[in-house]
Amino acid sequence: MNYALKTRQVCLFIIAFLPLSKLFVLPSVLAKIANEDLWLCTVLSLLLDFISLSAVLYACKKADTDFFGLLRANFGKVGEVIVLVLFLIYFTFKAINPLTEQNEYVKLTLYTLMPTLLYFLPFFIVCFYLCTKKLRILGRAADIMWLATIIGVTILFAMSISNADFSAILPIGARGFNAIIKGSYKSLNWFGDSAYLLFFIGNFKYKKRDYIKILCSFLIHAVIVTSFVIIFYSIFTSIAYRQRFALTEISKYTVVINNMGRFDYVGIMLILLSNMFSLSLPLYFSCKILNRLFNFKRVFIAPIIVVSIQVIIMVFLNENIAGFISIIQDYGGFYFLIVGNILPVFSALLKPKEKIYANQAN
Amino acid sequence: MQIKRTKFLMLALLLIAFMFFTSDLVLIDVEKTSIITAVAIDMEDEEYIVTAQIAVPEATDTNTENQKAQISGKGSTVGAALKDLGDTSGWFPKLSFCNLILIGENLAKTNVMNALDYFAKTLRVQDSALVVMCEKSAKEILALATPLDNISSFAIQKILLKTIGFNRDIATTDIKTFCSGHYSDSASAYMPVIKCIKADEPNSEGGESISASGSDKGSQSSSNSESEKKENSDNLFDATTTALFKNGYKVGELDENLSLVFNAFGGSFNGTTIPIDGVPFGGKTVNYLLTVINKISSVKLSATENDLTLKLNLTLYCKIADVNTDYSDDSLSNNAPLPEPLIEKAENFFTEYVNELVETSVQTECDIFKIKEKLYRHNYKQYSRYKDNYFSALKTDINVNVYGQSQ
Repeated sequence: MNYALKTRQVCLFIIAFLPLSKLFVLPSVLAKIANEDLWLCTVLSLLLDFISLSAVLYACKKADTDFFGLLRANFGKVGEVIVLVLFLIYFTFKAINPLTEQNEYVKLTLYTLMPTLLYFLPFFIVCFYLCTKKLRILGRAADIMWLATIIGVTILFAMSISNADFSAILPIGARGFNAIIKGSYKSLNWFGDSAYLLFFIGNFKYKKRDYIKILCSFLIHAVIVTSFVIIFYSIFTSIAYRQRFALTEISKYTVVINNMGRFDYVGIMLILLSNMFSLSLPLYFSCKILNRLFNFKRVFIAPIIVVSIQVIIMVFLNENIAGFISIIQDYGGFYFLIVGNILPVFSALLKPKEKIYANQAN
Repeated sequence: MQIKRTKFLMLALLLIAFMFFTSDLVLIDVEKTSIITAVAIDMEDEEYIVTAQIAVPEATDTNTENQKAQISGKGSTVGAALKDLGDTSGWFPKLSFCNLILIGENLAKTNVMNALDYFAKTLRVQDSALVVMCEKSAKEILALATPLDNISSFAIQKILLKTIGFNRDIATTDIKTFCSGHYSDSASAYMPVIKCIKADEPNSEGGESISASGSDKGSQSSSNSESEKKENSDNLFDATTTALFKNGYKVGELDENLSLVFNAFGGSFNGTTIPIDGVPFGGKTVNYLLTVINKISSVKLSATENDLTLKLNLTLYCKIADVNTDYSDDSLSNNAPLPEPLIEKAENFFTEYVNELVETSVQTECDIFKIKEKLYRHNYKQYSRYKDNYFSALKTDINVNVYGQSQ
């Protein structure tokens, strides 16, 4: 059997793309809710993802076909459609927040003089191109972009750690359990990444002990995100919630910048480059679902639909996007929890296609 | 398939070209962009007067000094005043290179956060920009001519941002540090006060001539000012005084010595020189100048049900930089041990000023040692007991040690 991905590429996919969307606005959102306990919210959400991912890996181990095939075999055509529609809605809403963040980031920090949506729209051309490609493109992109992510994050960490006062995250848990749960609930939009991994089922050859490699990759991703959040709060403490774009903020107080200028933009640009793929992920998997549901004969129809929906949302909700995202965070949490975390856990219960057909034959 | 791909690429290129040529990507003409190097904020009749010092780059093949322009705008908020400044000048005020914000004396009588908060919120200015208070109008300070640089804000930054090895006698702060102090539980912050001094006048507090090259009083001078710019050589700046703020209002000041001791509990202190005068030596009194070669300091808070103790530890490793003895000795060249009377005098100097620093903090209720923050972070069980009365319940345990080279 010819697999689209290798285990190495799955690991690098997790390291290269999953941490990035969590490095922009998420830290300040968590700081507003849980103050110094923001890292506990992050750890809780990562723990949920870890459980979901473990279940997905168990499904990968048993699977003899891809996710779509497993759904069809286990639930029939109607059941498959229902589950896929749930994921389609999930990815559509999951894409809005990071895309909006990136749009605002480009407008407000890179082109401060006269921000306009036009600066960001070319991203959708790249995204459209990605969406027309097979799963192999994500593996190949991860093979290259993991280096950009790691170098970018290392530069930012190296330039910011000297300004961090790590005692700022003390006392642990003083804001109460409710604040931690609330922070974690409102940040579910940024997590739930194991839903992506569902679509890797049956697309890479699962070998013995592959789960250790993949879970270690997830832990590297978790360490990057948690460290970033801790360093961010340790630098800004009481005004952390006011720093909307953590990515640009954390590194600019180092002495190197006084002497050499914004050297940290080298790291930031590398992360932005890698983030282009990260932003495309929900749209990419939406296309795969649409193609499965409607079996389009032309490869560009699903990408046109998916990309157009996001462009329309960005253009028409341009002035009201903050309120829209607030509604998603306030009321969408349960949906994100169910589809992003609980459904992937149930993937562990999916029976292999051959086994089901064998039972039916008997 | 290949033809379709080419068509698609052509369409994409056309789309980008259309966007580019129809909106010119909304770029702003560089001729109409002003590069603001510093902003001075004053208050008159409940209106903010914002004065921007603008660097004017000139194309030239000869070495010339920096050119500047200075324009003002007024408004009911700082943002409105900046807008007014842009409207009246026709320049788009670009704040990305603004590294200095000066607060005028009148504004410091009000809640300074009403003005500074704009710079903390906007993404147009780096919040690593330095913040200083002026002893008079900020606009006047910015307009002063100085021999240090054609652009006065650059001269002030030279004083504020000293490289390692220079005296660490100025309590430099930036927008982020000031705001995080203000918005912390302590609601306390500080900033240096810029004073204008004349080059040929002795420093009133230090009693030394500021015009001496390499002065250690937080000022700089130039000995090669040209005769046609004689009037420019008059103005120098001193920033060794520190203004204390509580809830955004100025509540007190730290003088030169208190600022020096306050900095000893901050970051790097190496290279700082400390004059210790009147040390008894062989029946006479001798004046020493010590250089700090290493510093270990800590501010810890211990809270129990019965007491709240602030433990201030300061250990300085020094060497003698100069001494006015009648005879030559090898103490400078050999990095010799410090004489006992000198150690005693230096320790007394620091202990006295650390005590005074704590007293000033208690009297002004400006929490410069972040006591409330330490109470919350490290003594959370006692936080509710002391959070409202920590200044009145505070006891201090000060431990200062000065060492030289060991025997």
